[in-house]
Amino acid sequence: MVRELYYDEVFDAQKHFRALLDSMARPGKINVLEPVPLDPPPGLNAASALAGFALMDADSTFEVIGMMHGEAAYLASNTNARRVETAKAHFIFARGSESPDFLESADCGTLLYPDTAATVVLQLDAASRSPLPGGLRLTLEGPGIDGRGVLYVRGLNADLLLALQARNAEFPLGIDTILTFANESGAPALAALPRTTRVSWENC
Amino acid sequence: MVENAKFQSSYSYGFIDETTKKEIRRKMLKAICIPGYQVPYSSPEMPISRGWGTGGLHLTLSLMGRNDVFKIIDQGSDASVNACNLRQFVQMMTECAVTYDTAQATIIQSRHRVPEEVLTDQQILVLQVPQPEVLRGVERYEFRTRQMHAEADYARMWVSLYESYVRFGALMRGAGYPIKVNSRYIATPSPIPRWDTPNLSMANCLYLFGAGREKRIHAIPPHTRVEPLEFEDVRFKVEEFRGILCSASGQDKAFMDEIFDDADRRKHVINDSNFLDKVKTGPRPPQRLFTNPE
Repeated sequence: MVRELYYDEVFDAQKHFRALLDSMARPGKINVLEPVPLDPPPGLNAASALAGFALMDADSTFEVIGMMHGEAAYLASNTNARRVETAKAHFIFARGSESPDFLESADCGTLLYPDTAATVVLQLDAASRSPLPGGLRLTLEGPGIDGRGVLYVRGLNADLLLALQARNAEFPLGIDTILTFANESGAPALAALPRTTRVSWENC
Repeated sequence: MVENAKFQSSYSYGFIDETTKKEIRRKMLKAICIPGYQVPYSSPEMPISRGWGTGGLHLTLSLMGRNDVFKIIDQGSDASVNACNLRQFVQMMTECAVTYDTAQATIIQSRHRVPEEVLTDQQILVLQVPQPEVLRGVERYEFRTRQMHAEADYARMWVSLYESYVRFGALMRGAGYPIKVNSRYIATPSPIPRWDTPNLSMANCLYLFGAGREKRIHAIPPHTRVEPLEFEDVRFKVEEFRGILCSASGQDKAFMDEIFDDADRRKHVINDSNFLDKVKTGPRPPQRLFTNPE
């Protein structure tokens, strides 16, 4: 278990939250997080760790999917959040290459309380405003987007998008997604796809 | 050694403790994901009474960092007692810069007005909300209004608007005109005049609404369709100040305050104090104006 020493839970959390807020309010917008020297386990990228640190505490629960190298213990010891089964998790950390089975059991809220739904943190190889060969071209529409937005991603299984589309079909129920990756210069960065965003995709 | 701000002052940075701030931040994100839906939140104790802007303060203090520039207005005015006190409090607690200039601010907290000047995508407007439940006037119980929102059952809201029309010949709602957000939830825009309501739709900035006493947060993301409730033949209209000029600047096309001077003469002044200062001294800042249907 690694306890991070250089993370400032007051000011780093505030800056990273503002980046998250901006990305969530403007789906597909890429925000770079101010880097903090971190030493996360191999399965977890820095942006996912920072998003977790900014949002999770002892009141929240999480699950990690397909990560075997102490990622859960790392998140738990740095945030005091509890690891629980997927269906009860507020935050679910997974790789973009994962198969979509876990989304089936993720919580998408109730009609009375749609805000209790899970937030999924998906780790990508890369995302950009310009085309990424071998990746997907996402076309985004919905609140927060002026007209139509485009985001290029690499390392995202299209089946996950299909599963998210199915879970988000019945607004206000749905799952909100944070996409995490490292930008061209290696800095942690993120974008978001809240449940209101209509996503269509094609290979590029 | 890592600089640790926690023990350098007798208060937490931003007054609210980190755990509660995180909770408010998580709820803010969910409010953005479900535009117009009221997310319940903790509403921690503040050094002012609930109902005096605590909801706005919770949001502001959870958002604020040391690089932010803060502006607060109360009913359009930067200089009212409430605005001055809260500005001083936020500045003491967060070491942020403060301004009167709408264009300079990154976070604007407001009570009862949206600034006249167009806000940009770098700005967040935090509105204080006394009563977040727009259906409370037609249904007294929370569990029923919650169910009505869940089922998008807004019949009683429409009936109340219709009744207002048949009784008075007009949609008799002044401040806090009900809006439909993203074609789903009916929400309150907080008690802003109808004049400001069209500016919530397809805006560049993010709108956050905090109701401290009622413990609810809701949000309108940028570029989101917001429609004031109206009938096909009875349309939503903003206040008209026909033939009225501001007595301080000689300008029109802004929300006006009606005031009476010592000699009981009636006059009008532009309500937004920073906007008034700007039109008095320089070019008119960009505005979004709504044209009433015929």
